[in-house]
Amino acid sequence: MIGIASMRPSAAALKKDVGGVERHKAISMYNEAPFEEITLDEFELVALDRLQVLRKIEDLKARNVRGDDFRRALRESLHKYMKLSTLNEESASADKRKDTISHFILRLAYCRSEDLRRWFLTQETALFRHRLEELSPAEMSKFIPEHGLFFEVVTPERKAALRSKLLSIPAAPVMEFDRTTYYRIPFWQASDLIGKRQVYLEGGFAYVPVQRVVTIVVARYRMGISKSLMEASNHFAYVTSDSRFGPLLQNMSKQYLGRDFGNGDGTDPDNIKPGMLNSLAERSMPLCMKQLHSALNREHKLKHWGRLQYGLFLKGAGLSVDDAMAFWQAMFTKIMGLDQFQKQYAYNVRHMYGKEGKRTNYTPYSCLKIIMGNPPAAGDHHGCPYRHYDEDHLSSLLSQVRIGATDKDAILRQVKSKNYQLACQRHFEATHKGYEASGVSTDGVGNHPNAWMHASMEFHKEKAAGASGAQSSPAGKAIGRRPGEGGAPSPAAVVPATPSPSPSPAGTGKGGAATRVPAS
Amino acid sequence: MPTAAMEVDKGDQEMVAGASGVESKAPVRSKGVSADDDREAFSPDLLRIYYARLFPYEQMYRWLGYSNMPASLPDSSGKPQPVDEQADFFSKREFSFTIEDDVYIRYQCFADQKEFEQQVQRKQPHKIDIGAIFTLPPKNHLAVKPGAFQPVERELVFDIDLTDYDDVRTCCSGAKICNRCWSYMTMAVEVMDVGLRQDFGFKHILWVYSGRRGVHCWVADDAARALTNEGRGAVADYFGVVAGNDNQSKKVNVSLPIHPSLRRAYETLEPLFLEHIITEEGQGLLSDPSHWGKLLATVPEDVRQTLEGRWKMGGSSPADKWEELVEEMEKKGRKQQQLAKKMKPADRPPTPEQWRYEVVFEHTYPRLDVNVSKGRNHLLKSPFAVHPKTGRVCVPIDPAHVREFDPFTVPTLGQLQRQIDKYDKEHGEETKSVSSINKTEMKKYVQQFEDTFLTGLYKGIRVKKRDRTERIAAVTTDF
Repeated sequence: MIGIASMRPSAAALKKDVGGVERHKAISMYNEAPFEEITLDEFELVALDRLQVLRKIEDLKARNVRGDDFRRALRESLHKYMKLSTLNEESASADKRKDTISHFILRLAYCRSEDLRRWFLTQETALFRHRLEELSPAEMSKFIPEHGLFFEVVTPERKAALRSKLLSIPAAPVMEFDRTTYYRIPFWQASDLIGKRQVYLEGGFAYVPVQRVVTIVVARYRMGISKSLMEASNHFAYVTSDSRFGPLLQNMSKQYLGRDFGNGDGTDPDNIKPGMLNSLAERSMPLCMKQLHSALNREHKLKHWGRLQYGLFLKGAGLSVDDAMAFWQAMFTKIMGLDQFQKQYAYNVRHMYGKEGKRTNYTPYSCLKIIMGNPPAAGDHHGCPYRHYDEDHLSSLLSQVRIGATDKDAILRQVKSKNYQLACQRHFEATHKGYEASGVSTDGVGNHPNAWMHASMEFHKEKAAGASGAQSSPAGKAIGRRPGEGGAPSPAAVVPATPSPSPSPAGTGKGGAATRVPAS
Repeated sequence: MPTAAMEVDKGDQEMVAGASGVESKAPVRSKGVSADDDREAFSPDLLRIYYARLFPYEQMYRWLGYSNMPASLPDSSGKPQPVDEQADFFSKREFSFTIEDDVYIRYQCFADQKEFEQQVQRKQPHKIDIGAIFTLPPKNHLAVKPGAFQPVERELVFDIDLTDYDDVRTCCSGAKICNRCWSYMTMAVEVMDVGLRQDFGFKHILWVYSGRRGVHCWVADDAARALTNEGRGAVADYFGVVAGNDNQSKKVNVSLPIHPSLRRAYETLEPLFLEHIITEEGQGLLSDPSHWGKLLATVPEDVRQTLEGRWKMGGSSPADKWEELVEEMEKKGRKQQQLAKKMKPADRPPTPEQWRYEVVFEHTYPRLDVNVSKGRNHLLKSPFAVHPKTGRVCVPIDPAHVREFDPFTVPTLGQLQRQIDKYDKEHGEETKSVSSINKTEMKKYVQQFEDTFLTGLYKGIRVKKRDRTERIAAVTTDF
């Protein structure tokens, strides 16, 4: 990475343009932590404002809001909580201060665990990308050198020579080709563009038009933040031992994680047994898991990703490690000897339960992970049927599992508009008629396969028991409520464990409340 | 992604394979079955002879030791940045052995060529896999706290396997291969090799026969070895055109304008498509009604009907049929042009041009097992290891002559042993001074390994060392 000093805009660059600040100067890559005093009140407030924005991003993505709609909604949220004014020097510097401080506070609050780090990294990267995308090509070409990103500019002669090749890239700037700056960037810095073949590649260099360079700057940014989060996590315990802002930091990250079904040690309430799986697959599994289960029944094997997706799901539903071993063994040994199973697959099963290797207790995959993760190839059965099957196959699959024509059309409509998770919710609704009245919580259905199954099992339990009981629906929570659409605790509700702080300077002894986070 | 789980996963390939070895039933074999075929190809005794007398330890050590020069990313001028030599570089490389009865031993490592040689001969691995260079010798991985043991660098590798072509190949399936379907591998090597060299600028590329039904590729350039997992994934995705699973009928989606690398690939592949895919001597896509039925299912209804009727009459060659098909599609495309303009881009039917690319690519474009490429710590079978099911040695393939490569002529352990015996019988006493390698076909393959790979690699290493020395000289003499 590039040294901190070289990434900082020079002091001279910060002070100019009377009565207006250039937009690209307002955007920070957060390479240096602030070092100043701040009241505990402000400490909390700026962080929660930023959280509102990050939450908004997550929410928009979960609802698959894209393109202009995404930008508009995010712009609104930013305007409300985190303006980056360019009106005049004074307000610009105040906004920038808030932006920087809030970023570093949350960086610290979210460095604690892998899941939190991933969440923070994902949303912050999206925010950064959004801000860069708001810049014009001209502003972008100024942003690059100012942040020490040394990209070689392709000479006009070379550009002209490559013209036909550069223009046969999807979404090439055909109309503005002559005015477009191209950069020549080592291929490993342009991974995103290379992987999608969105750039011309020759001799190890990607030829990137300025309109596309955002991706590369974002990748750099992401790498830097990811590294600092790892480093910060080493200091988390020390920092949170401070009685004033320790609890604030701890609380800030608590509210936003849905249940991750990570225990899976057989103590979960569902606590399923291998003998139940066939009927559960029939009645209570979302389509993705149904498919894995029937493939396993049919072929008596699953490939790597299938084993992981289904195995961790079962773990999350409370299948104990011993039961899991018995189950996989029974399945696999229909086509192989016990010996082969034990040599090649038993390790895998124990590994999933954190009993081997680095002993990580892997969490079951969420919908997002399944949808965005490794797509299934030939012979694979993992993935999300709504995302990874074509319409014909999905449609016939839905008929196979006896979904009526009306519901099927509704599901396929959601799939068409790429709302895979809503399609999955629709499947739940279609197969659990009367769930609203049952009072069963459907939180997380369409966000996590385990939530789907849990809700379904509760529903059937309720139905069996409730044949006699009254059908009062105490909460009747709306299905498909996503985090951020009411229900989730509002950030303001986070009450610090410490008594409300007096606005006395917090910076004694430990270098100010805006704690230094090791920057890369 | 739980990488640790991925590391230990090695089951799929063997599982799909079942018990059958290479079989050939194709009448078009370029070379006849040698008399050796009925005899023993693999046994522990043969393996012992191979490891004692034929395995090229010296060349393998020279390669994987890189003369103690770790990989460093090139700077903006394309020159690798200076790095220090690491005396224990080779010892941080993971090897893993599969010994008798499929017992799998990971995290093997060796101080030097001598220890490598001794351990291989002592353990007699049926399979040798090569992994990454780690932060410390892998055998010590339990002695440090988790997180301190990490892969640092690794050749960029690709694995292409004929089983991934099962939905298009018509001659064999599963572990079986013949000379007809081997042409899929030939096409894959041609496209990948050019792409890796021209697009990515790689120079040190080693292609290896996997011993049964596929090929492996090792890229040893600095920039390749230093790649992150993410970067590896990107390179693999760049070469990923055929995607999709059993629940998607359409496996290739090409957008226009077509990317220059795909245009180049198409120019290479179309003639091979005409030669190997549509003909009766090849996959028979346009020589057999049951096969062309599948192809016609991808074209509009009226085109299908026209051609089906016409082709039933017989008389046209597969090449004629392809021409007719392209022509009909273009006619249809011209008619649709006006209509398509009114539709949303996503709903438009593929243009005739797109359709043509997609058909050819579905049948010819390399299909990579991307998971092997993506992880730095994914293990891959070593060159010159032996496939226990076939007894064949994983010999290098010269990409410049890949069309001449015939997997059925790759020597088995049994054949090699008989070549030694034959040589000794013919030459009598004076054979003692001749190394065993030189008595067998191994000589050719080891020579090729040196000429097409090692020599170039070491040229690069010498330049790196010189740059380093010059830099030190510049610093120390600079008062």
